[in-house]
Amino acid sequence: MKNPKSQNSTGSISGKHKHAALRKRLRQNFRRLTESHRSWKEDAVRRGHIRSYNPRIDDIDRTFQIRSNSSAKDVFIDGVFYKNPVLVHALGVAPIVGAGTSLKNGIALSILTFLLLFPVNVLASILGRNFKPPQRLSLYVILAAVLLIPVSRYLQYYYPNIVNSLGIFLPLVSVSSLISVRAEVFAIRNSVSRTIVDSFATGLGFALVICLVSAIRELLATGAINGVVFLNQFSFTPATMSFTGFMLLGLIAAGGRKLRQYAIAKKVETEGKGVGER
Amino acid sequence: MNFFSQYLMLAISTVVAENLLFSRGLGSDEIIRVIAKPKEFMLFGGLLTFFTTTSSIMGWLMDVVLGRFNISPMLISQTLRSMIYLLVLCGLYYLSVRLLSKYAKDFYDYISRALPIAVFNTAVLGAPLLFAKLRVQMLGQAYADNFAGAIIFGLCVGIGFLFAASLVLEGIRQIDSMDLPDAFRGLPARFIYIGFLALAFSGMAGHQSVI
Repeated sequence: MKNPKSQNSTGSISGKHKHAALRKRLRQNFRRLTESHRSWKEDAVRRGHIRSYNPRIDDIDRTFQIRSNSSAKDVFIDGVFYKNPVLVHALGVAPIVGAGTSLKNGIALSILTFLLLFPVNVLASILGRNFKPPQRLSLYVILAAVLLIPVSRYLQYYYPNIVNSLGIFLPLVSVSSLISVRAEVFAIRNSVSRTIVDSFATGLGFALVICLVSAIRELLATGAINGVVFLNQFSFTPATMSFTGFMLLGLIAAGGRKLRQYAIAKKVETEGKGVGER
Repeated sequence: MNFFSQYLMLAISTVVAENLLFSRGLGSDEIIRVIAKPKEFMLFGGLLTFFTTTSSIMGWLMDVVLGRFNISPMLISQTLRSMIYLLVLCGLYYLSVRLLSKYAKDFYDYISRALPIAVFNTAVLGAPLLFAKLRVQMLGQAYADNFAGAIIFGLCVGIGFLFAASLVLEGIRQIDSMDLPDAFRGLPARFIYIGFLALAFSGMAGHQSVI
């Protein structure tokens, strides 16, 4: 028992080193498998069966895919409707409540969020596995903050009014929980193509909610949406304060859940049982 | 004595009247996520208080450095400023992870899930940005432009978060045992409850537009 490593190589595994040895053997098998797979793929490219093969991306696609039979369409509909990031998971509430006071703000925030969410999530799904969780979590935030600088320069140059009205919520987009949580929960465990679909869906789901809330708040506060007057001489200034945002979010979440229940009930009626388990 | 009363006013206004959650919605995602696990919430609040204090001290330090080199604070945009804060916070986070996982393994296992959420959230990054705004508003008043002011502001942001979270937690315990319509159960009821609390606290700050 002097040298446990030599013991492992002969086959008798015991005690403390059991798991390490098992892990090592698994890793060797895995590497052998991926190497054979790689050479097979390169052969296929040479023969012209498949167009191209990128070992890094395609292997990650193949090996780290969650085994689920949900298609791209299902992922998209889940992200927007059934598992809306704001209304179901309570992600990205702060910008909606704090800065979603006019439709312009809402549109600007949703575009900004998507511009940061998309590259961070795609990069997380390609490279995220190479890092440990603490490094990964800080990299998402730093990457988002770096990406925000050119975007905010552009905004400052062309739309200074929007930058003024967003205030501190412009820099706070980079720490929005929407970006980091989505990357950590979905992008890490899924393929690049599914991550792209999911980030589009998440961005759209967030944009729908923030635009709805901010349009209602602007209508209540000024009687007009983006200059178009709907309610003449109407002004309810507390609508710009945060409590209106929270209450509207609650009402919209309840309405969304009611719609979801209705849609699931209808689906069960038409397609039989098992659909509503989503 | 005048000085002391000013600090007291600063503390009370940051904890109660200008509570970050109720007046601006900062940290609302974290509050809703933490409340799902009530055991973690004191730990989370403690960590958050530590990091808000650090970040507001950092904001004060940055202005001091800028003043030393005669750079106008207006030249550095809020995004660049926040990126520098984030870089420092990342360094701090990484350092604490390395040190704790090496020397205090049990404690690290205990806090490892709450730590990243406590560092990278809107409350921690919002505190120095808001404190910079406050200093611009209170220009000429000594207490705002002070190391002690930064510490008190950061501490009170964290304490305000704990205060808000405990209020929300207690309310949600009551709500969950009530007969609610099916659609309102859970998250929608929480949103509306936080909205009512924010309405109550908005009376203390007076009518001000957000941001």
